[in-house]
Amino acid sequence: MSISLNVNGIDHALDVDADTPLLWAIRDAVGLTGTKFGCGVAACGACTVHIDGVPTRSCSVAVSDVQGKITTIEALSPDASHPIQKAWIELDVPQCGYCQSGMIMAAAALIAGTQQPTNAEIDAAMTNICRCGTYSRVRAAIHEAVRSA
Amino acid sequence: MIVQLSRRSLLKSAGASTASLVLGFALPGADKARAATGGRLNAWLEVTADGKVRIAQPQSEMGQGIWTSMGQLIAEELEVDWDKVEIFSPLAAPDFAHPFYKFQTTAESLSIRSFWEPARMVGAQAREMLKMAAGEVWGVYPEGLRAKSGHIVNPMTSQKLPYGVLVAQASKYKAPKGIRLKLPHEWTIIGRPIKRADTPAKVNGTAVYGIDVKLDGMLTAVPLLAPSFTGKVKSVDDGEALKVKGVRKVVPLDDAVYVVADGYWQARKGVAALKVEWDLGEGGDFSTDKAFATFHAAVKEGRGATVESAGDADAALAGAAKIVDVTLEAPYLAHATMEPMNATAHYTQDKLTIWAPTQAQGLMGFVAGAVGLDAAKVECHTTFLGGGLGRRFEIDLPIHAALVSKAAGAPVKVLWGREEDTRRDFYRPGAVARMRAAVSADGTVTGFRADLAASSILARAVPDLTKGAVDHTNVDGIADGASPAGVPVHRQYAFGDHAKVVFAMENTPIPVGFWRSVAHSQNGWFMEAFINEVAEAIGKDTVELRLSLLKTERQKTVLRRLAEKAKWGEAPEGRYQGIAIHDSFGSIVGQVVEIEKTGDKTIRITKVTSVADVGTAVNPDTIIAQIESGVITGLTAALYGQITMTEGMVNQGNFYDYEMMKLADTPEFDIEIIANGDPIGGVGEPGTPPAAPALVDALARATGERLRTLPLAAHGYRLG
Repeated sequence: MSISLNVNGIDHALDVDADTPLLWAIRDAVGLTGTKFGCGVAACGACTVHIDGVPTRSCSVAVSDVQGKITTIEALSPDASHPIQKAWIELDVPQCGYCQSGMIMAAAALIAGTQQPTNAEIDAAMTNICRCGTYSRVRAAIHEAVRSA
Repeated sequence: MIVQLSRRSLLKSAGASTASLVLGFALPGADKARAATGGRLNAWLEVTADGKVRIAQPQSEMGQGIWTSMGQLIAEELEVDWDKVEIFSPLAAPDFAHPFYKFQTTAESLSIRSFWEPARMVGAQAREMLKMAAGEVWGVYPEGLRAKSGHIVNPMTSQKLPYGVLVAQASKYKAPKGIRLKLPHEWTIIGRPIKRADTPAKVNGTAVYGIDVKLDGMLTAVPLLAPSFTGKVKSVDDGEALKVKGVRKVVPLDDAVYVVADGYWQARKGVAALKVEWDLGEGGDFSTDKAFATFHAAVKEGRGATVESAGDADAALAGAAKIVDVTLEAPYLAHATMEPMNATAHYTQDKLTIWAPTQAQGLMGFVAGAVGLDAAKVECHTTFLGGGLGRRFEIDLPIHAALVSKAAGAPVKVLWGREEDTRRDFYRPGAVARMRAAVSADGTVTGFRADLAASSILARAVPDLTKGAVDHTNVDGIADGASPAGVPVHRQYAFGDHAKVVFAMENTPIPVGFWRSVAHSQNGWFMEAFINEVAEAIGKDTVELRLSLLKTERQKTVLRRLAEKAKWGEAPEGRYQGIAIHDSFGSIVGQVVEIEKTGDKTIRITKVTSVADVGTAVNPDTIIAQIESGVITGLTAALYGQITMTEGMVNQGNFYDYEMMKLADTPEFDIEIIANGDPIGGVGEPGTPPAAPALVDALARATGERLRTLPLAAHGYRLG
């Protein structure tokens, strides 16, 4: 079955089953491994991508249900220049880093939609799991990104 | 410039240089720019033609920041500017054998600690070898030369040569001995909060974890695991599975059946179509309830091996004015690293190649053996680890990958889902501890007895270390002395002249393994929960009680500083504090956890204050990050962590029933690092042990209920 997906500005014709989660189409069929697999049940957010800018847990969307342009971590910016990425570097947010692709995509969507998110808004939007516990730096970096954007 | 014969004889006759100097090292054209060809100095170091210094980092980077701090040790002595440094993960090699374990591995917060001197010596020896090469060029004794910013400089003439010019020649020398390492006041890189070298790759999706490995012709394999830990494959009907699009092969192993396919999703669909009959084995009806019943019976009977016996603790208890008698439980815990378990292998008749997020590079010889190859025939590539926590020390995934690759005749990535990861773990051992203190009329502790019961990790992992039926990872932190196998164990408290610790090793079908802070994860909980109970029972302030019992001044200093910093005893209105301190892995960490009650059974963790004496700090920023990380691991386990098993099957499977703390749950952190030049302590694990007892202490003050078993969720407490 050929499914067409627009990923990071490029149309891909993929030979995948209609029920393939977008996550695996991205990782295995398109070959972009920046988006991570953590749980497969939308509980952890490691697989977060943007679909027309909306943060989406790609493990729980079938490719046949995808409407819109997909952006993965690789294309958030060409050179880590997105304010979130810059703040992440400034504050050395990642430890093991495995959750951070999803964390960054969630954070980028948050500040795209909310000019100056309050701590409560950050709490509500940033439900990604980080096993290393980088949460306090994630919060600080979101504030920093807003400050310097 | 051709070195003059007369200078050569001068050097020779002066006898100042080592016998390993290679004479006749000539470079063309005195006034032409010398060609910086770059080159490899040894397994650890390479200088590129454009002046970058590539430093090998053989320890497993799982978030603890050693990717950077190991490099700091080497770069400091090598005298190279940090912005010229590139860190790389080398092929596993005997060059990288761990100084303590003698095989390449990352465990027990012993990377920086064990490589503290050897890594600096790598940099220092390289520096001296580069000076020797420059000495050849200039016809001078190398001892008079200086190294600075990636160049060897002759202070007499101001000539300088970049390492790139010298490295090829330097690599021919034998590493010199007796080199002086820099003193702390000379450090410019060690002790500085250098930005992590792996952060850029971790914010743009380019960092390669085990799950990301890609090879030509690689297939992906997903397992159907036996339902019980002792289960074996009886029969396989793979007809339907093989019909699934993209499925290439079905490979039965002993205790699992792998579906091998073009990608993860196809393999997963193949697994759903498998029909397998299992022989469940003796674990088929086992349960965690049965395990704990055995542990409780053991401590009640007081049976087991005596690990420590000073004075006569039983007499002290019998004659005591008051006895504090507390039985505590610690549950089984899964690791739940963010990156699910995986390994990639390519088997050929001549060689096995492994790519894995592993903590046990030096054990890959066993993996080669599993596929009938000589231990020397394995090549191991270490990727970044999406969390390790001790789970990636096990080589089950590499063995599965090797076996499946051999059967499939192709490179294979074995990739488990979260459910497999949760249900086929090597769990932090569940344990029971009966702790007793003999207290005199004036409130002095005069004797102590601990009866511990749990399964032994080392009975499986390193049986030689379980002589006398004692596993030091079951008793460290509570017993003082050494295991019969000779491994030192320590307790931070002196309980007078009478102390006895008894350990009943009760092994069960439930596999147990190394979890962040190992012994101290449950024994820190037991010890500190007990001290808090003793304080309450005898009406003494817990800080004062600890100060009267802690053995060392450093421990007391941490506690005093913590009490001061956290304003112990002065919690704001509506807030409640709890305290714990634990000395493990060479560092002393104290924590005050502050909570507020938001409902009958709901709390919010508002603040964690921590003082950590780590002896010496290589990168203060990564240390603070790791203390926070340890706290989050400890609090998460205290709040939610529990693996239960019924009729041979683990009940938990994914994050909805093995919950994790989220950003909204995170307290405010106030962390202070003490590094007064004492021997360097570990950082990756010591932040975890105090968290649970400090939280439970705070909860006791808030609710009047002092928990003796974890997690809080099992008692109905939740964050909210």
